[in-house]
Amino acid sequence: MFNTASLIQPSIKKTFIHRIDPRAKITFLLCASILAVSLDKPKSLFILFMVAISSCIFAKLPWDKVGLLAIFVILGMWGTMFSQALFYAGHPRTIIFVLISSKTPILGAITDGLYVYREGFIHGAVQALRFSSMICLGLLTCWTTEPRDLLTGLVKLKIPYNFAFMTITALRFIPTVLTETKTVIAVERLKGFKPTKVGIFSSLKTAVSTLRPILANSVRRASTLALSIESRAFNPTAPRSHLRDLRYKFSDFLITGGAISGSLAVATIKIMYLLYINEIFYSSSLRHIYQLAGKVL
Amino acid sequence: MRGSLSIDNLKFTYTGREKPTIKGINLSVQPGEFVLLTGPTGCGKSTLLKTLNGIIPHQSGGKMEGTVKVNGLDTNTAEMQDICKQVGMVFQSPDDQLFSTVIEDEVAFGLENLCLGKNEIDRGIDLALRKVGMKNLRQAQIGTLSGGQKQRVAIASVLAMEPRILALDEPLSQLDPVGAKEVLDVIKRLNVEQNITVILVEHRIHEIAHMASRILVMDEGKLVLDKPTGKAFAKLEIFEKLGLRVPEPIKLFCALGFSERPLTNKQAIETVQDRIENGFLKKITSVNRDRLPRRLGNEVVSAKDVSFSYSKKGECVLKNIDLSIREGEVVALMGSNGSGKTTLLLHLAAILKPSSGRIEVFNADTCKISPYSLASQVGVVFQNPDLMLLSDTVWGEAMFGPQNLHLEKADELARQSLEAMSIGKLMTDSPLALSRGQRLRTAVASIISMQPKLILLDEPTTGQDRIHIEEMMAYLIPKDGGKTVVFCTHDVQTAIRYADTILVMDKGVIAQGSPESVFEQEDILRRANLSAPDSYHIAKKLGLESIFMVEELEDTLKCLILPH
Repeated sequence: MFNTASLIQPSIKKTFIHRIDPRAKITFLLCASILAVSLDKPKSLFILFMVAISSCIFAKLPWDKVGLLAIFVILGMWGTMFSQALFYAGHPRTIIFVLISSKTPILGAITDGLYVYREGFIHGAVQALRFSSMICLGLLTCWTTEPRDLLTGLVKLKIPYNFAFMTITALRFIPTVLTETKTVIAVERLKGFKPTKVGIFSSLKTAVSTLRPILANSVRRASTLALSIESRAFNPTAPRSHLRDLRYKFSDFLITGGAISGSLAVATIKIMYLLYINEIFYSSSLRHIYQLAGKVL
Repeated sequence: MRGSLSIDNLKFTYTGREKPTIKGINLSVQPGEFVLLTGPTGCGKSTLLKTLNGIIPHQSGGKMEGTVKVNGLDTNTAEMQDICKQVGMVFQSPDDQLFSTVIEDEVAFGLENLCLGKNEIDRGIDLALRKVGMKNLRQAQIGTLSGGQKQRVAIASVLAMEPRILALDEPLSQLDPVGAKEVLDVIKRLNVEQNITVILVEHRIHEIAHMASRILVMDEGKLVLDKPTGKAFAKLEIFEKLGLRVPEPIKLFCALGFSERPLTNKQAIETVQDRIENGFLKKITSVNRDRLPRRLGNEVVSAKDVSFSYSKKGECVLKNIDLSIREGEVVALMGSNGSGKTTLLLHLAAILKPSSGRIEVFNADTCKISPYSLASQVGVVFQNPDLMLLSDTVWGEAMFGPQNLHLEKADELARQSLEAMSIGKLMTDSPLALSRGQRLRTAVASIISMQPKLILLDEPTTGQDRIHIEEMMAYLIPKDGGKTVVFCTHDVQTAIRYADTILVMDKGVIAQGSPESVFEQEDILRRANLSAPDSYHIAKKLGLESIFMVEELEDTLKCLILPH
C-alpha cells in the first residue's frame, strides 16, 4: 500500500537533478510542454520521453515513487494506445487484428465490427508519449524540489505571490485530503453503503456523499488557514520581502538556455512547416527545414 | 500602554444572521494579565477573540458596533498590518493553520509580510523559536513534529512579529496531555518572563485555571462572570448551569461547604490537613470503595498476538496485542498520540487488517471480512464528526444506515436516535450548519440508528462541553449496562467514570485492568504520559486508597466532617 504523505513529499537527495535551480526546472517543464504539443512523430516524442525517464533515473527516486510513476505511465500508455487503436476514425487505416467481425451474428451487426487499427495504435502511442513525458517531468519537478524552493522559484519567475502560494499550499494539503477520503469511504462502508456498486444513480450517490464531507472539511480548513495568514499581516496586494533566495549556477543557465532555444526552434520549424503545407508561405531556401519537420519532428 | 486592551460596548452580528453573536461587551485588560475566557460552545468566545486582532471587522463582513482598542490602537480604523504587530492570534488545530513544510518558513511568513530585511527576519525567527524552546529545530520539517511542537511553531509564528498580546483560541483541544503541557508551559513562560498579555479561550478550565490571573465566562454573547481567579469560583452555579468543568479540588471543597477554593492539589491537601489538625475533620482512616462490576456476557472481540505496521519495513504501530472484550463491557483505550489507540479501533471495525496475529469480532475473522459486512453490528464514531456527515439533512443522516441495511422500522429507529441525542428538533437542518457539538451528536445518532452491538468511539470528548459529553455517554453507556463500547480518550476523568476496563497503550498494551488497578501503577502512567485525577492524588495524600472520582472523595470526606 502506498503511503500518501510520502508520495507527495519530495525526497531530497544530492543528485544533479535535485541541485538544479527551481526556476530552471520550471522553465524546462514549460519548454517540454511546448515540445510535447509541437512534436507529432513517434520517434521524436520517444526521445522526449526517454529524456524524461533518464532524468527520473538520475534523480534516484525512491521505489514507492518509481512504482507510482510506473503505474501512471503504463496505465496511461495502455489505455490511450488501446482505445485509439480500437476507435480510430481517420483514413487510411489498416486492420491488424479482428476482435469482432462485422459478419458475426448480432454483435457484428450491432458494432459493425470491432478492429484494431495500425494507424490508431500509432496515434495512441503519440498521445501516450506526450502524456507520459509530461507526467514524468511534472512529478520529477515536485519530487526533487522542496516546496519552499518551488514557491521562491515561482515568485522569482514573476508569478503572482497569491497564485504561487495557493499552488504550494494545495500540494501541502493533498495528503490530508487523501486521508480524509479514506475515512469517508470507511464511514460509508460501516453505514452499509457500497461505494463500489455499479450504475449511474449509484455512482452519483457515491460521488455526492463522498465529496460532501470532504469539501465541507476543506472549506473549514481553508477558512482557518485564511484567518491564520491574515492574522500574520498577509495582504495579497502589498509588497513583501523574502527570507530565502535562489542562486542561478552555470549549469542552470545551460539547462534554461538549451530548453528555451530548443523548444523555440522546434516550435518555429513546425510553424513554418504548417504555413508551407497549408499553402500560406513557401521559401525554397527552407526546403531542408520542411524535410526535417515532415520526417522527424 | 503596551499589552493593554479595552473593549467598549462591543456588539457584532454576522452577515445573514438576525441576532448578534456579541451583545454589548465591556472589558479592560491590563498588561501582563493572563485571562482565561470560557463558556459553552457557540457563546461567542471565538468571535470576541477575532475582534481583538481586527479579523472582525476587516476580514469578516458583518456589523460591528462599539470599539476595541489594543495598546490604544482602534481596531476599527487601524490597518491589519499594524494590529497584527500588537495582537498575535493562535488557532485550535495546528495542522490547519500551518502551511509551510519547514519551521523556518512558517515563522518567517509574518515578518516577510511586514517587509522586513533578511537580517531582521533571520533574527526574528531565532528569537521567536528560542521563546518557544524550539531554536534547534529551525530547519525541521513540520510534518515530523508532534501536535504540541506544531502548536508551539504556531505560537512562534505570531511571536516573531513581537506582539504584546497573545490571543489563543482553544490551542489545547487537539493535543494529548504531553502536547498540552508543552504548550501551556510555553504560554505561562511568555506571560511571566516576557510580560505578554495572554487571552486564552478554553473549555478545559480545570487544567488552566491555576495559571490564569482572571477568569471570564461568556454565555449567549455576554460576559456573565469577570473575576480574579481566586474569587471566580466563590459560587459554582454559573459553571454548573453552563456545563463547564471546574477544577476537582474546587468542586470538592464547594460540595463539602468549605470556604477555601484551592486551585491545585497541593493547596487542597494543605487545607484538608489544616482542618484535621484544627479538629474540623475526623482523622482519616483508609476506606475501600470498590465499584460493583458490570454483568458481562459472551466474548465479542478477541485479539491474539496482533501486530501491525502501515508499511512492510515501517515501525510496528501495534505489537503483540492480546485482548478480550465481552458483551456489555466498556473499555477505554488510553495513551499518548501515536500509541496505537486509533489503529486498534480501526482493526476492531475490520478497516485495517493485522500484519500478523488474528482478530475476531462477533466470531468473524476480520482478515476475511470487509467493514461492510460488520455494518449492522459495529458502529464507529470517528474523531472528526464532520467526515461522517454524508447527507443533506440531519434526518437523512439518521436514515442513511438503516436504509442501506434495509432495517425494519427505519423511520422509528432514526427518530429514536435523534431524540436520544437531543437533536430531534433539527431534523430538517443541514448537518453542516450545526455547531460542533450538534454535529458530533448527529454523527453519533447516525450510528446508533443502526443499533450496533459494538460501538467504537475515537476521542468522543475532544472539544466538547461537559454537558454534551455526559449526555452522549449516558445514552451510549447506560447504568444498567447492555452495550459494548470501546473508546479512545486522553480524558482521565471520562475513562474512570465510564470504563470497566482501561487499556494503556504504547504500541502494545502496557497495562490492562480496572481503572483502579491501572491508575495505581505510577510507572505505567508516567510511561504513557498519563496522570491520575486530582481526587486520587488528594485522597492518597490524605491516606485514602482507591478513590478516583471527586464524588467518591466528597462522600468520604462528608462523613468525616465534625459538627461545629
